[in-house]
Amino acid sequence: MIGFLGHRLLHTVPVIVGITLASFVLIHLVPGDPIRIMLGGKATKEHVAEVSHTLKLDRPLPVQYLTFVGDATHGDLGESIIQRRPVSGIVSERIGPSIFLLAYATLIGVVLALPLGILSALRQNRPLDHAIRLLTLVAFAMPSFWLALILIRTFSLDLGIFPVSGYGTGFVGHVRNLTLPALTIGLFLTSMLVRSLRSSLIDVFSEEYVEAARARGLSESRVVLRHSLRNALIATLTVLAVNLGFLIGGAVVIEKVFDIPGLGQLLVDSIFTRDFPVLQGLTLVFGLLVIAINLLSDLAYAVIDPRVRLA
Amino acid sequence: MSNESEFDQLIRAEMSRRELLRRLGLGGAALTVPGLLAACGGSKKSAATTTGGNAIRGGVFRMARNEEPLSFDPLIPSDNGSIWVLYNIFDQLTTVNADSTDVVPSLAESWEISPDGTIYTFKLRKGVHFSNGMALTADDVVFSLQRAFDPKKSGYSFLFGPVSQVKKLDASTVQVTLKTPFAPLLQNLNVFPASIVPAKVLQADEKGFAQKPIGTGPFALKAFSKGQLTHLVRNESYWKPGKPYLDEVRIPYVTDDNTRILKLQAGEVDAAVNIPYVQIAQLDKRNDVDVKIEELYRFDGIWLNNAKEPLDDVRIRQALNYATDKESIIKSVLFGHAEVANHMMPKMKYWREDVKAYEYDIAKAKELMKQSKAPGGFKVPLVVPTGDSIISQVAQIVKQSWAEIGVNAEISNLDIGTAYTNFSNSNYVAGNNWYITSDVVAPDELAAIQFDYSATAGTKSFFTNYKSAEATALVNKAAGATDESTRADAFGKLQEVVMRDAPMVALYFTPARTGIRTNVQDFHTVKTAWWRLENVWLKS
Amino acid sequence: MIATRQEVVLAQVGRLQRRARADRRWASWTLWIGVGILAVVALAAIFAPLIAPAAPNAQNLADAFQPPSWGHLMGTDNLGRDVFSRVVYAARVDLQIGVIMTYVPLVTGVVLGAIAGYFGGWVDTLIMRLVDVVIAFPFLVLVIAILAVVGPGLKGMYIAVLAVGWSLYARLTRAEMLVLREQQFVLAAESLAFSRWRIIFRHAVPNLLRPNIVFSMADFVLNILLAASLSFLGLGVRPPTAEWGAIVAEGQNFLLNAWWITTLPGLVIVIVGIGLSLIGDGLAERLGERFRLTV
Repeated sequence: MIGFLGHRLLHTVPVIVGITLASFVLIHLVPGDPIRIMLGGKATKEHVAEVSHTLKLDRPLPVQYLTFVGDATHGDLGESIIQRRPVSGIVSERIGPSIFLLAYATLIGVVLALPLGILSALRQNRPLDHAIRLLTLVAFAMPSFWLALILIRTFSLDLGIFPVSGYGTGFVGHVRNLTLPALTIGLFLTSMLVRSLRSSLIDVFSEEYVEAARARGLSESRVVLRHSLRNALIATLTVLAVNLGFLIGGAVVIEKVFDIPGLGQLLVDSIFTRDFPVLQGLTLVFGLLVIAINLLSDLAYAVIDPRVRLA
Repeated sequence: MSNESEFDQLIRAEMSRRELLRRLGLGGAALTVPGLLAACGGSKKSAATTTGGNAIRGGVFRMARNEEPLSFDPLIPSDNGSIWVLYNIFDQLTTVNADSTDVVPSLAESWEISPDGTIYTFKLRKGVHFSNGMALTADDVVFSLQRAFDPKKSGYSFLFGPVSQVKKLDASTVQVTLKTPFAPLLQNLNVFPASIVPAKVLQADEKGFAQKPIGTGPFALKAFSKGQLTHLVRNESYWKPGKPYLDEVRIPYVTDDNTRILKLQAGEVDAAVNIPYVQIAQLDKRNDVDVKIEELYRFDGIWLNNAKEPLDDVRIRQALNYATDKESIIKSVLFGHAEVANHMMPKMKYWREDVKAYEYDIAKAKELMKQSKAPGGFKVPLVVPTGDSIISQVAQIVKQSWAEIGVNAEISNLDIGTAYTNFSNSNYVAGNNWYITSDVVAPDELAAIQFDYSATAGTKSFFTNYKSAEATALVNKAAGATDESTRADAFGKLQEVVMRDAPMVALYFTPARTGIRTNVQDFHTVKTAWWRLENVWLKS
Repeated sequence: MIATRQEVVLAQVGRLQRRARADRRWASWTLWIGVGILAVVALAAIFAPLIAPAAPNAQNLADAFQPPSWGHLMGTDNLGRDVFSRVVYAARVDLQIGVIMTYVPLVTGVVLGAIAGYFGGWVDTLIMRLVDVVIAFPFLVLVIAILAVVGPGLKGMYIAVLAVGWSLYARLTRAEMLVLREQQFVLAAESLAFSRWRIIFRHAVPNLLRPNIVFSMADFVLNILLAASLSFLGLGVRPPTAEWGAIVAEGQNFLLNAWWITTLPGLVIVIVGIGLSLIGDGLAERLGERFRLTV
């Protein structure tokens, strides 16, 4: 296990280097000097140069990049140009809500997907299957902000069960406030997971050893749970991991509509203000999160099916 | 797209004229006035806001905003998110009167101006305390003003012109000496950088003060969680007796328009700012919510780069004005809540109602085009900053109208950072900037910035590149005048001149739109767009 | 009469066979429903000028915010434009978006994934690391950066998606290739000393295409939704271009009082999404069976 982990971690290093390098290059390709934007039109060249120098933005790019990498290994992600405070502080303030939201959404997604996926596969091509598939298709194809507003309208305004927006205070507050946004994301996840689970299960059901088990008279549920689910879950887990990876940086729309002070909004802010240090730091954090998710899912494979080779 | 998304507000604020001025360090050279007693007299209505005496003390007022503060040190921020909150935490020597036309005493109880206009002696109000209990002293005032006047520390030092010295005369008297007379001083002392701060506290920890401010204003900052909530509590030591009525003010940060309104409707907040025009009618219909429409010092228009052909031809600019159907836009996009602009700057003191706005007249527009240097029409890139659905709609309507006179507008959505950078380099043709507001009650400043090409460090008539000797002369005449009638005359003529020269397409004057629940009493937005929360009380 | 054991078994088999036939009929029905939906969209795109009662950008301010009626099947929007006409013309834009943003990355991804899977070694490692980087990189940053460089509108969106979209196809293809290269027919071709490239492209790829095509149906939908989200953030097509996502995004400002502007086009997106997914599922089942038979 340690060997496996170590091996995987080694593989992540080039990925991280790749991500940080890519973002560094990309950000500096984009026109727009943050100092100029901050100071305004005819700020004198001297003034711009002065501020640039104070913020260490006038050094050659490779030097800036290496400094960033070096500092990052001690956890120093630089200082935000706009807010003049450490990036790590800004990020750590907002990472909580993002992770809470995604975790909650994953929970909803999985809890809904498992029974629906299994049922769908067992009753393949029967009316129940079609109904479930139709519902998941609808959830899949809905624009997220549209679904979000409908949920707010119904559950917050008309029924008054959940607050309209915000993050709330305390654990219970967070759960309450995040239910609608988590539901919006979660329903989408459910739709992906159900389709994947159903498809994998159907494949597995038609495998010979399953038919053999059935012929031997094992009850349906044992057939499903013992033998089929494990293998089907692996593919589904991949789908989950991939989607979560996209959601980490991509939940901006939801964060915006529900006013969740997460990383998504921070990301878009920093792009528009050309706040390079924050952007750099965020890209790194996102990359790390995606890698962490992949790692977790690999570990989960191993737990689900010890036969899977961890190479 | 929501009306003004958070990230865009962030930058748009940064982009405001205020920021521009600050960074350009516009001096007050054009504004020196020998011997003018600014502002104290001459106000038409200086009625203090009365509450009828039955105000209830207590309660928590929750107001949802789509902007949030960045910093609470009066010298640092230039964004509306911060500034409007600052006005409720700090006081200045003077403050604006009820209809925002002039200044009245605040921390300075009274003042005397020397006959030559260079020495201002302020008598400080007694018995004023900061929210931490410390008494206000002349030392605090001197310290605060010195900070504000120091060009090295303050980006706003230009507002205070030729100040040479600030000194304490005695425990309750402060004297400001100028090198030359400067008319707007009293008015500018009301602007937020001149807020009075406790010297000892700030000197002990300047950086920390920006997150934990202490002021003499009606409220004190209890907590601030970025991206979520600004929490104010009553300043128990506030010097106005009985005020503020509210125990607490909670300001949640809600960028999405729909969400803000839904919260208001659900009763999760008592007020919501920046109500989208389309929602005003249906919100008003409700029994429990009202929408307050209040005038602001704000002008909306389509900026044109007069230096780019063929926009350098005045006939073309006039044609564009005639070809824009402002009434229709106001009706369809703003739902009637705006006034057609008959000026190229906000409606401030000396604004004349009788100057004609450009009516919608396609025939006239076509005539002008025929006589112009581009009779066959031309293509014009029109830049719309992302995130503002109103501007986007206006652009689409305008594109259609202008097509009728052969002007083909190509709309581009640009993020505000880029739009602004281009704008401030005059690297644009049309659009990029779509409005301008004033933080000061005197119109001199905006007039100089917008219409006096030669003014100071060169905003080039706020990047329209509008060059007019006539306009410049009028601006200077007004600034140099001692009496009201000359000033009114000059500003009045200026209005006629700029309307005729049409450096931009004048659209309309838009108001503040705040939704408040009916139990909220005496909520008022001043024309420089912040709110007097000290007067607000909640009916049970 | 007590039925003989044979008769019982025969009866059971008969029942199962009838059920299997019914199920298969159901399955093909859904495929055809999907195809039908897609066909309607394609026809709308091609014959837009004939089907739409008005020009998509024709404003009529006096007529704004009309609810759905016979004259305006989906009502009018905030600028008085006929929503139905806009939706019909938008089919052109969205189909184009879907095709380009889905199938170009598919081709790139399949080729790269096949190469990675077949050759293994450092080629595989290189390509897969690239996939990891591309997937881990926050997509929004890339989009906005590219838009800032090339300017607003569809061009930027295309570049961004093409730069990123191939990665999932590559991963999928590589995984399939790893299995495939151990299969009989590949080993046979190798023993016959066919050139490796020929093996990859003429023998392997046709089989590899199946899961990719299935996935591409979902991808198509997601790309349309992506265009909608970008419009929501103000980064989508240039106004006043009619594109489903842009219409829905602009319309959501008016959700509380003119629900039809955003809801009806939103339903169109949902239905198209369902149609494409049905095709994907139908293909999966059809091709799946055949696949197992040939190998």
